[in-house]
Amino acid sequence: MLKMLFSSAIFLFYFLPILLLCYFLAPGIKIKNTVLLFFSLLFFAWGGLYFTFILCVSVLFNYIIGIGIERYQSKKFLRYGIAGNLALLIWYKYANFLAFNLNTVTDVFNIGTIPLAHIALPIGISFYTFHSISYLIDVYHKKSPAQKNIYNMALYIILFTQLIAGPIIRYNTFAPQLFNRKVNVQGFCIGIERFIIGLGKKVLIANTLARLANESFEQTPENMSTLLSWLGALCYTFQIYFDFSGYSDMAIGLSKMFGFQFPENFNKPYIAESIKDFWKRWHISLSSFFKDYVYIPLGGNKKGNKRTYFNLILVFLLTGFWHGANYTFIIWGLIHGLFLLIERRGLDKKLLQLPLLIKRFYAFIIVMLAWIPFRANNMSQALCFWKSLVPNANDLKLDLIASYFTTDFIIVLILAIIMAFNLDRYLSFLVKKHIVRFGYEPLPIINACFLLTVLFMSAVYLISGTYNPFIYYQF
Amino acid sequence: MKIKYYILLFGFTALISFPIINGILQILPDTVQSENRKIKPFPAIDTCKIEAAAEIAEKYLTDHFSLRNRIIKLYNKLNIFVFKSSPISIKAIVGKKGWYFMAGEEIKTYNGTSLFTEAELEEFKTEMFRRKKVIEQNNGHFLFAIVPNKSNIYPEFMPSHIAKANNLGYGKQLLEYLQKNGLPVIDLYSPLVTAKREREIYYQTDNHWNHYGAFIATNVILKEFKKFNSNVNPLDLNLYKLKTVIEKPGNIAKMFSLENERTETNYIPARQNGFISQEKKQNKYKVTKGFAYPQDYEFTRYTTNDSLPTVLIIRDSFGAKPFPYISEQCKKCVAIFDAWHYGLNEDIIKAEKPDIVLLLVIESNLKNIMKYMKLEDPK
Repeated sequence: MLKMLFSSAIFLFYFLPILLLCYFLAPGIKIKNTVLLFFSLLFFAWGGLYFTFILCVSVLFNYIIGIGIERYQSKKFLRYGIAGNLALLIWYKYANFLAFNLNTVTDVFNIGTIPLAHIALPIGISFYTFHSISYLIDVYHKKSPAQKNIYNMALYIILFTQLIAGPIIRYNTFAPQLFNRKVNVQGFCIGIERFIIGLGKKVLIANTLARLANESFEQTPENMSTLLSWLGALCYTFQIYFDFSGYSDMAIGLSKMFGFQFPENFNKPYIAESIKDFWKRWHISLSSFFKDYVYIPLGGNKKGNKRTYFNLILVFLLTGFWHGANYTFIIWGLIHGLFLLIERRGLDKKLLQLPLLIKRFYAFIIVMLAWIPFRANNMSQALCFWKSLVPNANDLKLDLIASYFTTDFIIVLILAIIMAFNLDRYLSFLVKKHIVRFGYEPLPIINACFLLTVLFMSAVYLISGTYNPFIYYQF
Repeated sequence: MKIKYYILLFGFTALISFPIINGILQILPDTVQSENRKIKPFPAIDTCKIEAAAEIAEKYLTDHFSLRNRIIKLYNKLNIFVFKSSPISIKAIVGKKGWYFMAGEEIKTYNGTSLFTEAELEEFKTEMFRRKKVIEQNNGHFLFAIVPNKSNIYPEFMPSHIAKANNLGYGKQLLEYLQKNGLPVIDLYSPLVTAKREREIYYQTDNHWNHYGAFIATNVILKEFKKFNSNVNPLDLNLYKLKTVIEKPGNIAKMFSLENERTETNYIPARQNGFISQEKKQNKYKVTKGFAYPQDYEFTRYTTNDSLPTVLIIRDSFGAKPFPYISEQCKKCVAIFDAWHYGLNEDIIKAEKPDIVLLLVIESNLKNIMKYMKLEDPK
């Protein structure tokens, strides 16, 4: 299925310049918003008109429900609204998975089967249904008034910068910025900087690391080797971070160019000191959504230990399931839920006494091992992969690995390690210290030139048709 | 800080808008496209297929992206000359000292992975003996020659990271197996390895052998012909002048879009008065369906020496260079390029009644024979 991604030539060199031109030529915030809405629809329609129709129906539905909630202050409306959004999500994302599992049961009792339908997944459905739910709940809790103008409502749901892969923006964060946001040179340039960083993370780092990660996950069990599996898991761990956080950076940067201020979605997750800490740093908008809209309404940790553990496991089961209709995602979520539970049972106190490096190593290794089912096609592949991490005597297939260790790959891997583990902070501190010693500070110029080089190199890699599928669009 | 913002603002705007501006104003012209494929034409708008419009438009815009060829060239150069790695590693790899190699099957024949199974060897043998029988029933002799891949003749120029899992590539594996089972297979490996000490026998920037390599192979083949016809003699290199020619780079360099950055040295054994054999267009036979190079399907050369054999060569692109040399020792030589199917071509055998049928196959395509023989009628 065709889709327009931020890291595509069509977006970067056709869509974006034309949009920027129209946006900044448009007088007044209302017309600017109309330009954004039109281009957002075009952005979405690139993936198919049928999906655009579904999206428009979803906007209309939530618009009506929102007004209903406000007018009648009825929980019933809220329930209908949430149910409608979830029904849309379940139908397009989970119907076949549920039917398949139901058929497995009905097969045993020989009571007929549900035919599996060919249902294509609309782009960004997981994100825009969550945006809609956030809107309805915020209106119900009177955090924001219901949107009376359907175009403004549509802009919140459809705004292309956060449509495909988030971050999940709460309506009460978005609404005040609809007509009251600052667009100036400084903000625009900060947006450019953020966008370029994200683009570089995705195109130059994630795509390069994907080569070895893919190779390791494409091996048949008999071809798996311990070294390849460890390297593959490591590369995937970095790949998914640079891919997804790169996309979030681009989304935040683009929004900033148009004057929006969106919350951060990542905060150096691989320097987390526990799994609990990891979830404060990884996909922050999703984890806070589940926390506020599922975990706390279920009672959070206020209803005793057993209920807290149940709530935790349920939230992480849903988090896993949100990523895709496959047991691999559920297992990934459950692993995280389980370790959070273990930490809550007392491991967190023991971790506090350990040196920083060991705490970070613990969190990183659990996260890395959990990525394996997340990336695997099915659980049997994940099990084989886990098994191959255990060394055995004659499985060093160095040639296969060596063929990927080209100069560019090694440079990128080192860069990934530096950036993921926050070592760049120390390096930039050292650089600044030495430059200040000379009493001259050319850093802003160097920084700008470096960013433009990253943009240019990313463009070169994009045009040259290197590997470019986004990991996160499928969610 | 202000200066940083202005640099960023100007640089970013200029970079993202330049392709559209340059596309309209043609400030900087693009270089020639070197991808060996058709560029998407301007799409016709089909209102019935509006869903596909975005895809068609994207393909068109991507293909017609301003300065696309320059950018691809830059990317390729960066990879090849700076990172010493291939920009298209699935298709070709960068070896040592400026030598380029094909990837895919060629690597498998080199590193010894994906050898033939016992069952495949047996199946191959059965097929070759079936062909031999059919040819002999038509009063001909069957010969099978495996052309070694460049990587197996010049392993010293292969990248160090591509280690050999097995010294026996599947070409040599098959050669040894068929020879052991009494099939007339010509060993080109040893003579070529010996000949490379004299001068280069394969191109550096192409996967094919050069004229000198083809000449060496020709003499090995002609020695085999002599077993069936004593009038055949290997070509005497002393009668040929060895010309050193600087040519445009080969197919792999073109894939890397390095047409202007590299040259190729070819060593051509050439007679002063040209070839004895003369080419005559026959175009008697039906070209293999879907063959992209129909003009290369059939070639015929004649000499006036009736004591020499008539020969049919079933070949691929590696047969192009030895063909005129082999023809020097044939009364008539027909070369058929059947789109890498390497079929028996029984209809041609019946029509030409050749004294010798030579099947000349590049090592990395050996498995094609297995693939297509199943489609042929065994009767």
